[in-house]
Amino acid sequence: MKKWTLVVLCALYLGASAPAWSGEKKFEIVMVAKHEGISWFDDMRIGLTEFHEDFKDKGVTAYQIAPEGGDPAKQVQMVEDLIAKQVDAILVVPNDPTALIPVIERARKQGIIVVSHEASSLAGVADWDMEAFVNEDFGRAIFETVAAGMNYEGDYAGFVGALTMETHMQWYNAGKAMIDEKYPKMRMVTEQPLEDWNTEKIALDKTNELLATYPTIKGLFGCSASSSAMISLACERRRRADIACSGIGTPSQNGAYLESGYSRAVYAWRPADAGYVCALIAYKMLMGEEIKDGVNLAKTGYESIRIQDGIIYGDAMLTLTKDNYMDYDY
Amino acid sequence: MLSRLKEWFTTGNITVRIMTVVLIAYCVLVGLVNPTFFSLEIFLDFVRNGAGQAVVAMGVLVVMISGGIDVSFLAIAISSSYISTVLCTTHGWAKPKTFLSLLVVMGISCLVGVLLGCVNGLVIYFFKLPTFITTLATQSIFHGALATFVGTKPVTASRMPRSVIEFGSGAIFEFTSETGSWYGLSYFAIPVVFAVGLTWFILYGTVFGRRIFALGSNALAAKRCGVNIFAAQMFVFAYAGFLAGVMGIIYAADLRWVNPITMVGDELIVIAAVLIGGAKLSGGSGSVLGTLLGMAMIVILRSTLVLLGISSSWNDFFIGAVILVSVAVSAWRSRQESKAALRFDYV
Amino acid sequence: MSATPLVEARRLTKTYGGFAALDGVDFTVMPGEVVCLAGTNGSGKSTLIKCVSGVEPIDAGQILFSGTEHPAITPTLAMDEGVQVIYQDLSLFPDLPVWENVCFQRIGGEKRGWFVKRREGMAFATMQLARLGVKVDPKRRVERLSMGERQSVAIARALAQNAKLVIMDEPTTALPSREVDALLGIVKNLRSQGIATIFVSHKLDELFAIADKITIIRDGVKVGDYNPADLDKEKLGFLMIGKKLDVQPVDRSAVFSGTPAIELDNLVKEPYYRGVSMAVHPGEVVGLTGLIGSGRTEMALSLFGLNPPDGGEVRRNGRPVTVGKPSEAIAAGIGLVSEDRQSQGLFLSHPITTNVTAAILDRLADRFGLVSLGRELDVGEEWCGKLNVRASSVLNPAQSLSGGNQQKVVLAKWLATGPDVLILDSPTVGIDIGSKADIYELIKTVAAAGKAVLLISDEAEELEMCANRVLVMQSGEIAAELAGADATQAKILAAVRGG
Repeated sequence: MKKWTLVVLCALYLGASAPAWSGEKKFEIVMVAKHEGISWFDDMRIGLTEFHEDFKDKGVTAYQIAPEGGDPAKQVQMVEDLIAKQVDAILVVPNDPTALIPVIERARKQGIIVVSHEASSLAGVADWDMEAFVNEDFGRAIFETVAAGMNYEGDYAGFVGALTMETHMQWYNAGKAMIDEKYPKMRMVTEQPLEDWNTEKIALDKTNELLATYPTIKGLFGCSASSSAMISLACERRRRADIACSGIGTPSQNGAYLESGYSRAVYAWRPADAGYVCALIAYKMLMGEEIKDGVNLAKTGYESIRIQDGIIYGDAMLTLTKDNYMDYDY
Repeated sequence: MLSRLKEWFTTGNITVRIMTVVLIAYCVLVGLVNPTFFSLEIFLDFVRNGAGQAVVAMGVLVVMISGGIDVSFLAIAISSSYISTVLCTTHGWAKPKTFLSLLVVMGISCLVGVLLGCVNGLVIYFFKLPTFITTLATQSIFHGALATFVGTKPVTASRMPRSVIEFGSGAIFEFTSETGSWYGLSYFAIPVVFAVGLTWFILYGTVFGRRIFALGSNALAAKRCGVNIFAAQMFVFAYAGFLAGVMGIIYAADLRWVNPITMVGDELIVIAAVLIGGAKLSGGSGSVLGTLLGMAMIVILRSTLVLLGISSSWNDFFIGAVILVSVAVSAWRSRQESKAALRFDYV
Repeated sequence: MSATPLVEARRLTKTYGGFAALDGVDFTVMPGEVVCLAGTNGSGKSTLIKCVSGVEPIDAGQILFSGTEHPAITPTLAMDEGVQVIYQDLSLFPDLPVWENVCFQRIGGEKRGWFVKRREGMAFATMQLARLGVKVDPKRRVERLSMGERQSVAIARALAQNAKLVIMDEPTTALPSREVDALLGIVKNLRSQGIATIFVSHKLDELFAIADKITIIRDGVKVGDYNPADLDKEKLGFLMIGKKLDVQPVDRSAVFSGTPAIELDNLVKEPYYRGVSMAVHPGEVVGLTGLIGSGRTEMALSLFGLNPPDGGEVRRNGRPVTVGKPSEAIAAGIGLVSEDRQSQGLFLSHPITTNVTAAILDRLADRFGLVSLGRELDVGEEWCGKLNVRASSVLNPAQSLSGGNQQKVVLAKWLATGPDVLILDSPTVGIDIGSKADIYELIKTVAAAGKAVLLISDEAEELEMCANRVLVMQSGEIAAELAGADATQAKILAAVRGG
């Protein structure tokens, strides 16, 4: 009995490790997105599917999973399951980066490649973190639009998802710092940005309250995807086209407000491209290729990547305006 | 006037009394910190912000009076508004900006709500299951079924029926502020008045409503007195579903955005409002006025953090504290009564 | 009486799983007659009531309402014929006001409309309550009423449905004595209005006070219909249990001296009682009686750490002790068997053993704090044996036992803790006379084993049977002490009434 177990175990071990040099290895690359069923990650899935189609002849399987309801604990569980399943590479868009650190370390110990996206704090923990652009540039772009819309003077305010959300805060901090430096006549009315917990209803109610409490507001920024459309909507209800709104968001949710002018511009990147690029990074590493400055990762904005402190940066910021938002479907 | 107020105050429902005092005290406090609070604009915003939940709270109240609890109502709200808006946009119904077409959207939503509520009622009645577990399960089922069979693609502002957008943006009367902002009493006040009035009438004015109280107060006795338990249970869940359908459209109109994967998670806030308003988890009691005050309490707590200039983490703290205090006060009261009667059942 | 009986049952038979709960019982109720059903627990009284009210279908025999035979009796039919049952739990709606409870079937008015007719209903309810001679504010919620008032509401509701026969199943069990008198008054009042009553009670005094006819059932067979004038308590008891009850009064010649097991010195708790001094010696049973409000129950609760006293001293074996909460009382060796065993004494849905061992689990536990089921079972069986608890298995839930046996389990629970002082509050309330005798014996055995027993009771007979001495409280003070030959029923009653 014992002997048999040993033999089976050996066979399994050999089976798992042996064909690594045979060239016929089937790679399994899995994206663990933040949230099942939302259009942003549906678009990302398009990228993964495209990658799968492009590389399936080379023995690659690529697909995307995500927790229902965006539950961070479930996401950790999903990554653990993938480790148990012995996949070759895990791509992850974390809900809560710190919570993922232990499992990512465990995955890497077992030789699984991990590429994170939208989590620069995981640089050095994961093999690579991939960002579509330098977050600071992105934040500055949003704030610049708001500032221009209010003629570089007056009161403004805005949203992040939560003060603990890393990328949101990076955008906010960079944008705020730029305004404080360049446009001294602008004043943020609240000490901290408001939090909407990524919920449209909260964003809308708080914008209403904000506009009633501070009637002098001339500009609103949305550093969370839920708030961008809602700040525009609140302004439209109050017929205050003079208030400049801008933020991060999807073309579908913000299209109507770009059209009506209540949103000056919306910033984004293509989740499909980001998904594709993450998968490509993992594939290149599995094939033993080096990832370095200037490597071409196929998609627009990623033709010549830059690398800094374990983070891969593209230049794929997307500025959505009245004229181009209909070109995208997510 | 003053003496009548005093009389109402000394004889009325204890919870309603406590609620009124706490509410007034809190408003005065906020007003002291930031005088902007006492403005019509802010008050009218409360009506708009709390309308959806106030409507659905009436349904939850009726369920809780019957001795049950419903945690599936937000899943029903999102399902019914999503199905309704998707149907209307794909078939081009409800396109014109008319009251009639709003009724079509609302009607479909309420119909779906009633159907899903009936699912709750049927399951609970025929399998004799506890209402909490059942609705917790159906909440997931409704939500999952919606994502699986109907879709997950949000209905955005550009696809939203015109009548729904008008419902969300129009006002019964309007003002312009000095800075040029328009504000007014939202159309949402109409469904709130409708839901409150209808619930009031059903609960206090009809024999059936009294039977719902009786069922929650003593189910065995209700059965012995020939109360049709099946009818009563089906009604309360269908009614909660119906109002959830109304709430769904209010949300859709408010946000111009229906995302089938959101709107689950705030159930407990609504249940808390009903509880703060004097309902018992064991059933048989609860009041329309108390629920409205409870809802007002929560809306005001939630919507004054910007005014007070404090972080939103305080939100949960405040709401939790109010729930705890109101429940503790009523428990303390009944303990005092027990003690006075030398009933030591609290030992 | 040659009139048609309101209800006539002929050769009624009802079997449950081969066991005949009723076996060929004939039973009649004339209009306006007060029929008392007497019998021990399990004799078939409840089954008879269920058959007459249509809740249980009958297996053989007939039931005629006003001379008409019906193929099958349903609850609705029985109600239409004017049969109204007032269950022991009263089936009221505590959250609803009195008037809605009274006219529940016609909240929508006389025409049973869809909408609440408040004024009409309120007037109607007031009228029904007036028929009973009861004054209750129809707007008050029932949960705020006393037990007696609730009972009146339940009866008024029966009247509201045109009752011709009101069936009351042990209505006085939960009532304090003052309210019992009021209830008996109501029954007489109903009789004068031509409404018949079937009255079930274990308190024989009550039966004699109101019955026009006493129907005795034993083991599912009718013993006979008797005119109360032809019976006395002894004879009634004999007919109910089929043998002579052999309960000897306690030996009054015994003298107790030495250090009392428990001694109260000038105990005060305003507004309930004041200046209470008394002592109970090991082996002694001291009876304590008095009307509701006399302070006796409140004082007993004080001794068990509920309702702590404001002043005075409690001494155990001569040493002062404080009993501020029940756990301290238990530690001081004091046990209380409360009157309301349903809500305070028993975990009804748990097995009998669990109930017996509930208060001594820490003693049964091994050094890891674990309790083995085996030990628990042993203890449970030991006590059930000692106390003669009639149960097929000690693992059955406590609610499967009759009232008398439930009370024995409560006693066992406290005896198992080995208290030196045992306070028994109305230990035989709601228990049939057969079980009562068992409990009397038990009290004497406990005392003989050297325990000090404080027996609180409303029943003079019980005190005469069990207590060495009887203390009578009035308005919060001890008004009389009856010992030796003075402790007779008549003298006790006289002292209670303020003689």
